[in-house]
Amino acid sequence: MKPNKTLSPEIYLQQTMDNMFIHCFIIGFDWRFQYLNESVADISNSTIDSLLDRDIRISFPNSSNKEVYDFFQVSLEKKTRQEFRASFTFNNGSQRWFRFKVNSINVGIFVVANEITETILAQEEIKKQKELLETAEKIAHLGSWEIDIQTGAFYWSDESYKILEYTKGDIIPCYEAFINRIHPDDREIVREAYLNVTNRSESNEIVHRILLPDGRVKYLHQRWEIYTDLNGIPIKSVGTSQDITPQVLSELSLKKSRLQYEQVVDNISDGVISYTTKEEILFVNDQFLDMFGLSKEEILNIKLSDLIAETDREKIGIQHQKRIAGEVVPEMFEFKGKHSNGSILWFEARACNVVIDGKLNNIQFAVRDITKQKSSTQRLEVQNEELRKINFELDRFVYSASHDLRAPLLSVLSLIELAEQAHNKEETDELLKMMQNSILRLDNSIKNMLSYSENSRQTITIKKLDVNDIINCELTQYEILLLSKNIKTDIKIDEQIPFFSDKGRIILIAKNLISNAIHFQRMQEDNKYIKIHFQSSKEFGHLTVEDNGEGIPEGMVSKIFDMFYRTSEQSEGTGLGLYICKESLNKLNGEIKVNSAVGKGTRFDVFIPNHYNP
Amino acid sequence: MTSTKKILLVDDDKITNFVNEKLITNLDIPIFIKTCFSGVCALEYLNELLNNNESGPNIILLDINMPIMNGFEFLTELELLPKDFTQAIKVVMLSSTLNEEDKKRAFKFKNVVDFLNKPLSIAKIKELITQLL
Repeated sequence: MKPNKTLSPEIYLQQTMDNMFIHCFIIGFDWRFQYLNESVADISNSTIDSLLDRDIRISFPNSSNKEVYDFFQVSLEKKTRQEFRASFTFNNGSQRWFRFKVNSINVGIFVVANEITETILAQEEIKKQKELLETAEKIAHLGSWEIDIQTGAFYWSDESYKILEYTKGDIIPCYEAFINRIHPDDREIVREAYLNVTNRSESNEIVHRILLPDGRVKYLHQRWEIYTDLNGIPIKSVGTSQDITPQVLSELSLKKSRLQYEQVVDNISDGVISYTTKEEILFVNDQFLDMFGLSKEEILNIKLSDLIAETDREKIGIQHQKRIAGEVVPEMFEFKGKHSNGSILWFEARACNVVIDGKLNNIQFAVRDITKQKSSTQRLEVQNEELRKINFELDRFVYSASHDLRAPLLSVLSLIELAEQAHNKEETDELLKMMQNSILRLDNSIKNMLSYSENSRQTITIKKLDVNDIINCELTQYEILLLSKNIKTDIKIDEQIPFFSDKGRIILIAKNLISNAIHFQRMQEDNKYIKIHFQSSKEFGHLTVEDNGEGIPEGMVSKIFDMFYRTSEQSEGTGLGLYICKESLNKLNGEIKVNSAVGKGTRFDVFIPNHYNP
Repeated sequence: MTSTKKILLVDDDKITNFVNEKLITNLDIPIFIKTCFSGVCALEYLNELLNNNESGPNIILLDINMPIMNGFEFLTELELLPKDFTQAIKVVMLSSTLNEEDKKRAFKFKNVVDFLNKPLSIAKIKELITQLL
């Protein structure tokens, strides 16, 4: 505005004051407004006229204005110049902040008031925010910091000082002060991170240790962001550092106990696996993997039920579902497992439900391979069964043998008693003859029992046999009997293919079959014969012994190979002959077949494996 | 009935039968002796008596261990015969095995009155005959 030349300087000054945004007013010694400009009238929502010549204290009587009036009073009384900040409350209740300048003039005081309400409010807001932040930092053990990348100046929040255990004021925040606190082992990674903080405009984070003068170690988690100017040049980085020592320590102790657990589990012979109810594997030890021939990767790609043999899958599956459902199921059980190579193994398992916060979290299995025990148990059962059979046979043997051995002896005893009463030599001779027969019978029984015992004890000795010689040798023993009973023999031995077998047992078989064929002839048959044929092939020797004697009643055929079974009361036999044949053939893996008809005769066909190896 | 007393000897051992027969004969007691070498033969003899309306034997000396039909099997068959024919028959078991089980098993049959071990002495057979006849 161009000054009006007609105006005096006082008028000009007043006009200027009238139109200023700054609030100006003059208070007389009697506290009445001597002058006030438009700004003062505006701010107090009144007019210049209504306020002029009015006592300011009466116009704005609010008690909070007392402070301002006290300042005014000092200047009015002592004529001093003052500058102060204070709030002023208007009649509509609004409180506003001003910077007052008070000058003593001849009529009273000249006051210039510059409103600073917005600045004050902003400062208060900042203060409040800062307090909030500090509280938050304190609670979270979270310090904040700022680095001015251009100047290298550091700023630490109160909590940052506390975390680093520096006393605010004792030290100026700087890189050296910070790096001094870093654990020597972590300094390198922190330096590297610091270069990232100052050089690159990207977010980053790091966990490192600090070592305090008293030897304590703290774990800090640093996070920061880089701020750049309009040209993308980094100007500052702002970050937080959080004291995570308690978490890290508990994690470390957790890790330690987990490591200990894993070491224990790795050093036991049991296979251990734990998995969630959704069959996600949480842990599996090497022993478990070895048991099933799997690698860690492979076990993740199969269903756990694949580890169970098909025969047990359904049973174990139902049990598993029940376990998950919280039903009571056996803690220990056995199952057949399937190795990756397809073999079936026996396992003993112990299951343990791991409950966390009242809920089933996972299931742990300790598994032991019991295949060896199982197979030895099964072997024992088989052996036991064999022993039972042997024991039963032994019982029968003792029973029958005692009869067969005692019967002739007792006969002899009674014959002796009878002989004592004999009246003449003829009678005595007859009795002596009978005694002789009894003793021969006893001898025969003993011989048979020895054969039986030899067969069961002696090992098999394979060599080339002369079957023709064996048969002829046996027949020679019956020469007289064959002649006296008028029995014809038909012998055909074909040994073109050498026959290799156990000589002792072949003799036993031939002897018993020939003996039977001779003893069970029918008296009334005119054309008595026995046929002995033998033919060897590469696979087996085939011996046939046939007679046209008594024959065996149909119902007895199945029993003739039983121990001590006798088919005829006329039989002088011991009931061991065919049993010995059968047992000998069992040893040689051979076979015996019988065809018989009462009154027509009997034919035995014996097949003995040939051990000939050209 | 004043018919002759009958005794039946059943043993597959011919010598035993021979000796026992001789011992009884030497007692000079009027008695008819029949010997059989098996249970089957003895049963055939009993049936023959039945068919001829004759009374059964007063005593049977019975061996246990015999082929085809042993002593126990014979006793089972005996119990199947008409009661009035069998009830007076006294069976004496003769054994060479000294087996307690056999003894217990034998006494379960009604007709069995005694169980003796072989061989029978003259004194024993005399005592037996006089006691049972």
